This record gives sequence, structure tokens and C-alpha cells, in this order.
Amino acid sequence: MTHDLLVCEDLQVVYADGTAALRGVHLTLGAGIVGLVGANGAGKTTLLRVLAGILAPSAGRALIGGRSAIAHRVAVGVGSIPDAARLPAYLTVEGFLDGLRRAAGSPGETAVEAEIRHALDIDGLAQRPLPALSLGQRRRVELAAALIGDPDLLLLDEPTNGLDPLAMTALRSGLRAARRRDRLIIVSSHHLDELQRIADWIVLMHEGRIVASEAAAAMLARGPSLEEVFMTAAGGAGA
Amino acid sequence: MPERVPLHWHLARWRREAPGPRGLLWIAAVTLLLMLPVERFGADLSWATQARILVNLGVALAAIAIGRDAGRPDDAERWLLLQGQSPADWALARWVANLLPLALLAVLWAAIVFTVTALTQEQPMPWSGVLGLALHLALTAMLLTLILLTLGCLGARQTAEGMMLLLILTFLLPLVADRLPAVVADGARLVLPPLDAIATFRDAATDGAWRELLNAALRLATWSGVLLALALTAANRRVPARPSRVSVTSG
Repeated sequence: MTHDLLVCEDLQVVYADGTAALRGVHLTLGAGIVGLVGANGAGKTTLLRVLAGILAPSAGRALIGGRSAIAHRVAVGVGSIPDAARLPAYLTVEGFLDGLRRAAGSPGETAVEAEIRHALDIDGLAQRPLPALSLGQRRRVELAAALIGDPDLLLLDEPTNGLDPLAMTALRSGLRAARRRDRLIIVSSHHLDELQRIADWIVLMHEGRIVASEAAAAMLARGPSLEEVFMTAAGGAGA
Repeated sequence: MPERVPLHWHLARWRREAPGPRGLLWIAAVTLLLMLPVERFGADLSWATQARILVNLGVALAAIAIGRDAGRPDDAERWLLLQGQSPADWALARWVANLLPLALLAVLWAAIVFTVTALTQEQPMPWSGVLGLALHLALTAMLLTLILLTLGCLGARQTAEGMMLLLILTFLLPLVADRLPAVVADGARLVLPPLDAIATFRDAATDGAWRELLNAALRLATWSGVLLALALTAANRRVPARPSRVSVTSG
């Protein structure tokens, strides 16, 4: 992994009620699939929101390709699934994806987007109204939407939550199809076994800080499973 | 080149969702009320005057029903933000998309008032009166939806209540202006919605009084322009969210 795509320097976020969600995050990442692991409240979602350029840090900075995350979002867009946002109820799958494509300035569906759409198995859903989709279909459409505009940074917060094994397999295929040499994909998930299968790099977070960041193979060599490594690292950091 | 998708999506929302069965029923009910040439508010008022009051109330209620959420963050907006589009674009498109059906409603109701007076009254309303009424309703809808949009963009939760408060103050001002210091009364006239300018604009347009027309148009345009600029600036300041300026010591 080349470490030049994402650089976080002393990133801090303190919410208005005084909660410190990020307490000085230092992180450097390059292209590949990165698994972001941490307990609830570790700061994963806040970190992803800062990287998406929709939350300004209280201090420190996040640079994507040398630009601030906010400038990066405005200039080229970011591939992400907005947290807690639903899909617009008045659009069909095709209308939604086509609208995002036009918003991103894409002249039409690229070959890569078509390949991902096929991998995600949403070819037959084009005319379906968005509210009529099942949870698994919705997640796959959300991933296809996040990949529109061919973003170099893709941020996915708990994409596998509530999915059945079939939907998880389709999502995994989509993620693998989305992997490319100059794209950084950060996936936050509690499904550690799932992350173990797809991630090239693992970042462990605990109480607003990064407690470990290294290649997945190296991290897995430290214990029988990612879960064990995470428990040990979190325990060490909390002590 | 990125396209401005928000208006396209807002119009799709109108086609799919709005006004919905309840909205249609409500519009039909007001329309039916208008078509009944009966006394509503007392014998001192002519039927046409009563109809004007009713449609003005109808437009105010329709503006609230349609526009009360206009300035608030929206699910579809969040997706477009990630593609680099601005919240101001979304807010502006939503205001325009809300205004178009209200303007159509204004024309519809003015036409009904004209038809009923033509069929039932001894002195039918002149064409200029109908056009004046449609113009009055459309401009009222524009001001009211703009107030709702601005309050929403500024983060107000009770946008309809805020708008009603502004309207009440506007109606009260002429009654209390004499008792207020001149600078306060003048300041309030500048800040409060220029509903009187709408009436002046309508009368000047139907009478051909171009000087008054220009003055009223200028006042309406200035007030609306300032409010719209305030709304769009506030919308753009919402994203990225700024949690706090306070930082913690790392380590």
C-alpha cells in the first residue's frame, strides 16, 4: 500500500455538548480496501464524516490527494453513503442513479460503473421505485450510487448491517469490482470476519484515537482472528 | 460539466408525491367554497371581497403546507452534497419548485372568482381585477414561501409559527406605528414583510400608475433579494457542519 492518498494530522472533533469524538487522529493511507474497526463510540462514523467533507474538524486537518476533505468533496465529489439518510422516496432506481451521474458531471454510465452494477446484481431494478426495494437491494443501490463519478475515495459506514448472506455476497462482489489501483475504500464494520475477507489494511480505533494501523496480513499474524487482535489492542489502549 | 439536478428531483417529487390525496382534497374544498356565492364574513362585505379574503387565507395555508420544511436538510440533498453540489442550489430549487404550483393555484382561484362573479353577480369582476387578484396571490405566495425557506435555512424548527408571528407584527404595525419612536417604526417597516407593497403593486398594475408600480416592485425585489441571499448563505453554512471550535489536547 502506498501511503499518499489520505493524510490526517492531529484530527480532533469536539461536539457542542463537549463530547470529544476524535482526540488527535494521525493516519496515512494509500489505495486499497481499509477496514475501520472499533467499538460503538470509538469515533469511526465521525472520522468518516470528516473525510467525506460534511463535518469540519475542530482542530487538525484531513487531506485527500493534497486537498482538504471539504475542498475535495466540492471539487470532485466523494463516494459515500450518507449516514442516517434515506433514499429519495419519489425516484426510481434509474432516476436516482442517473440524477447523481448528472450531478457528478458524468456524460453517461462508464464501463466500470456498468461492471459494478452487474456485480451488485441491480440490473433488473432500474424501474423499481426506491421505497419498494428490500434492505439488501437498497444497500446495493446505495453502493452503486456511492461509486458514481468514479471517486478516488469511497467511504462506507456499516454497509453490511442487517444484510442476509446472499446480499452480503453481492455487496462483497461489488466492493471487489470497485477496487482499483488508485482508489481508497474505507469500510467501517462490526462484522470483523467480513472485513478480514476483503481488507488489505486494518485500522483499529478506540475512544477517538487510532490504536493500530497496519496491513491486514500482519495484523492477523498477531492473533487467531481480527476479533482477538482488536480485543487485545482495545484492552491495551484502555488500560 | 455537472448539471443542476435539484430542480429535476424536486419536480419529480411533485409528480410522485405532492400534493397527494389530502392536498387535492384540501384544494378542492377551498375551490368549492369559492364557488358557493353565499355570504361568509358578514353583509357589509361584497361577495368578491369575501372571496379575496378567502383565497388569500387559502394561499397562506397552502404556502405553509407546501413550504414549511423547505429550508431543512433533506435526504436527497445529502446525496447530492457528496457529489459536490451546494446546499444553496438545493434550497433555491426547492423554493422555485414550491412556488410554481402555488402560482398555478393562484391563477386557478382567481379564474374561479371571476367565473362565479360573472355568473352570479350584478357587477362582474373586470379582467384587470382578475389579473390583479392572480398577481396578488402569486406575490403573496412568493413572500410567504421565502420567509419559510429563510427561517428553515437559519435552523428554525417552528417555521410556520415564525412566519405567522411576522405576519401578525406586519398587520399590527400600522396600528401602533404612531406610538413608536420614528426610527423603530421605520426599521420595522424595512424588516417586516412588505405585504402593503404587494397591494400597491397590484393596484398600480391595474390602474397603469407606473411610478407607484416601479416603487412597489423595487421594494418587493429588494426585500426578497435580501431574504433570499440570507437563506442561501445560511444553507451553505450548514455544510460542512461545524461541531465546535474547542479542541482537546491529544496524546
